[in-house]
Amino acid sequence: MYNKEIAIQLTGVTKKFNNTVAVNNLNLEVYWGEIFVLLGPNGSGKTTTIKLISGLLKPTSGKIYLNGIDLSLSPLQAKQMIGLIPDTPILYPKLTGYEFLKFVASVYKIKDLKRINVLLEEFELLDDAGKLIESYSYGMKQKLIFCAALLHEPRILIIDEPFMGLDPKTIRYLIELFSKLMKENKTVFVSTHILELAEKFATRVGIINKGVLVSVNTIDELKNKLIGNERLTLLEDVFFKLTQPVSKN
Amino acid sequence: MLIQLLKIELLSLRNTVKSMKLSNYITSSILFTVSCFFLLGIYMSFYRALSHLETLPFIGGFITIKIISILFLSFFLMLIFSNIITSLSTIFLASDIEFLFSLPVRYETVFLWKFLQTCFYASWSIFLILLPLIIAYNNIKKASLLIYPLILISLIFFFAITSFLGVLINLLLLKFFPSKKLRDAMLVVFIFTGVAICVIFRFLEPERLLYPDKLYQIAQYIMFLETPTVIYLPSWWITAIINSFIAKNYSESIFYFVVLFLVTFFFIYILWLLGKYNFFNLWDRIYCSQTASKKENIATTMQKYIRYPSKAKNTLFSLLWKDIKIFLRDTTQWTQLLFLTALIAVYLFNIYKLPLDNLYLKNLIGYLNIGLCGFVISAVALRLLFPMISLEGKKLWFLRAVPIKTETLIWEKFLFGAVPLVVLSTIISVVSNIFLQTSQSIFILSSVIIMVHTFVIAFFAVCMGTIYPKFDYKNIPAIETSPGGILFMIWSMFYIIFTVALFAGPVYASFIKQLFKKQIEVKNFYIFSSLIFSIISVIIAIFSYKAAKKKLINYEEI
Repeated sequence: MYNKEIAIQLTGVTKKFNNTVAVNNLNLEVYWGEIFVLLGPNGSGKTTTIKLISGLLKPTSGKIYLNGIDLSLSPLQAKQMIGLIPDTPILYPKLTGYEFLKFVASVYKIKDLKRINVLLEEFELLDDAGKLIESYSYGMKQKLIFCAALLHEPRILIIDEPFMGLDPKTIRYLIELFSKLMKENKTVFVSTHILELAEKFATRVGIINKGVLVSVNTIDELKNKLIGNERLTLLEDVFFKLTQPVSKN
Repeated sequence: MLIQLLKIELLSLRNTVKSMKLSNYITSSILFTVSCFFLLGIYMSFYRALSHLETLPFIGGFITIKIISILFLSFFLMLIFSNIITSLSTIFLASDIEFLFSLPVRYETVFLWKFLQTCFYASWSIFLILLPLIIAYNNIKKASLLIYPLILISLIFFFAITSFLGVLINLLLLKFFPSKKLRDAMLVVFIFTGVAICVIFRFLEPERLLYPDKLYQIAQYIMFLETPTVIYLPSWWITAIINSFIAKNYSESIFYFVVLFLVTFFFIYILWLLGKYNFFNLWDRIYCSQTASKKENIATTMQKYIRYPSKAKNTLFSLLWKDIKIFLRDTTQWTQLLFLTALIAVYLFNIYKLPLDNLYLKNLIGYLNIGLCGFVISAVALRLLFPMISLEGKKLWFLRAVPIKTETLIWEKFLFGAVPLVVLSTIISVVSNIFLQTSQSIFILSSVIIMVHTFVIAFFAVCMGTIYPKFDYKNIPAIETSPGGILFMIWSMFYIIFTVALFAGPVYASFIKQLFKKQIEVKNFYIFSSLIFSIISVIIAIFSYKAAKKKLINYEEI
């Protein structure tokens, strides 16, 4: 079903924050044309994984490849391929939305600025593009970050908690966008803890708990997963079962 | 790429100016005018001092060069110190670093950009202060206008070198102490050292250079003047560039200019290498240390000993406890106390050194000390108490959501901030009166007025901070220089000057009575002034409190 060419590859990736292990020996392959959702409870290592894949953090051990490019060796080449949407949009408050996108366009050396208006229109920000970012609501800032991340038409879109602060209309638009990107053989890597939404668009789901990737399956496989002697049919039940605290006894 | 990053800064500046309202324009104009007067004051004082020195035979020229070199040396140290503090927020803890790292931009470009930002933010105020000093010096020496571009370029190199050293110290500090708490502790040590340098510099009494006749070892004095001030430092090189140019010794001037240029470019190259090979790794370490589980340190150990009393039922008490705990855990706030200590030391030293030889003068200064002390209290209140509500920032919604009376928050902030202010004013008023050896009546009068001033100004600062909050601040100075902060200072000054004027009559009458043994009724005079003073103080407190309470209840955008 999938194009088996690998878009993102993590081999034995571990990230330690002093003595705390945030991500432990992560081995994962995400393919082209896939919407991969990383599920996990709060503090499970989702954001750290996102930051490692987007080159914001350096793995303590292990390797990360984007389209076969070693992120530690050629970070610029790898970053040219990705668009990142962080969980908290930190933007330049004294720039207007349009000016910010123009800046991002210049970084990616995009000469045709028409795409800025196209994206602003798609995310319904065109009327506010001339206003200072400091006057934007949280949702508007999040939309602007989406515009910035999509501006250079990245082959890999990495999103940390994509639906936080967004209205239902934008959420629907994003789900449609993810499908469109998938059809274009692009990869979307999403981290979230909203199970219902993940269920709607994910092609494969990885569940991470306490820094360990405990399962990688399609939604259907997960729903029929045999855990112990139990066969669970609800994604929610599987999630709770896989992420429940391990008893010390 | 650097140009594109610079564009962000320029566009932000343009947009800030464009979005300014009339009130912002008025405040900025007031601030601009006050700053111009301040710079003019520096120019005139320096011009006068140097003109006096130029008239001295033989040694006048030496003293001038010595003063200039000492000035550059002290600015050199101040700039390094300022760069250490600035680079922490502009480079290593900047909010946009993560965004910049997610873009295909080279690490060394981001690092160089952040270095330029640091250099600008840490140096612009020193540049403004240097400007009148340099103009005054060149006017005295009747230097040609060509010297200004030379000085400007030299100053840019000078600032770049100090920024490099500041950033380098911070890099080393962070390399060995990436943990936030340890870094905070190191920062406190650095700030303590900086404050100590300032105090020591003040205690060295550099003004003695202006009175060579008071130094008995003339030969030693001349020898001291002839020795260059630390020849291997850029502060001496820039002094040499200026003085050699003025003396038309162009080859020497060019020599030192080339030295300054080469050192700057060598440092920029080192910086580029550090950015390329070290910056990302270091940033990663800082991020890791911040995310790692907190270990016990000095701050957490200290706060352990201050536990929340189990029987406390008062909400005011609970809020107070919250702020004390936060203060003890946030080591960066401790630096405020260090600055306060330095301020008291320098203030009292200046009072101690005043050449007063009769009781009339001593009492006069003792009385005027009310005004000076009031100014210091206002400035400290602006630093400590005015920003308190703004510092609550986005957390204020929580305090408004819990069942606490709105005004309790104002009272709590007042109690929390008033304590260090009362300690400060008590020390200043009592010790300065002892140093001045004022009469008993002036001692009591000034102490009482200063105490009332302290309470009223502290309360007024909290109220004004509530009426004019600045929740979207980048740093505490941004809150202080907001329109509300300036308005607070203007009103405080009016209040202090009014008080000094109000009691001037009875104090003068008392002097006349004592000096000429005249029969003047001063008691009623004092009662009348005290009554007016009390009414004015109460009016300020009540009106500001009411306005603050109303504003706090009606906050809509936090």
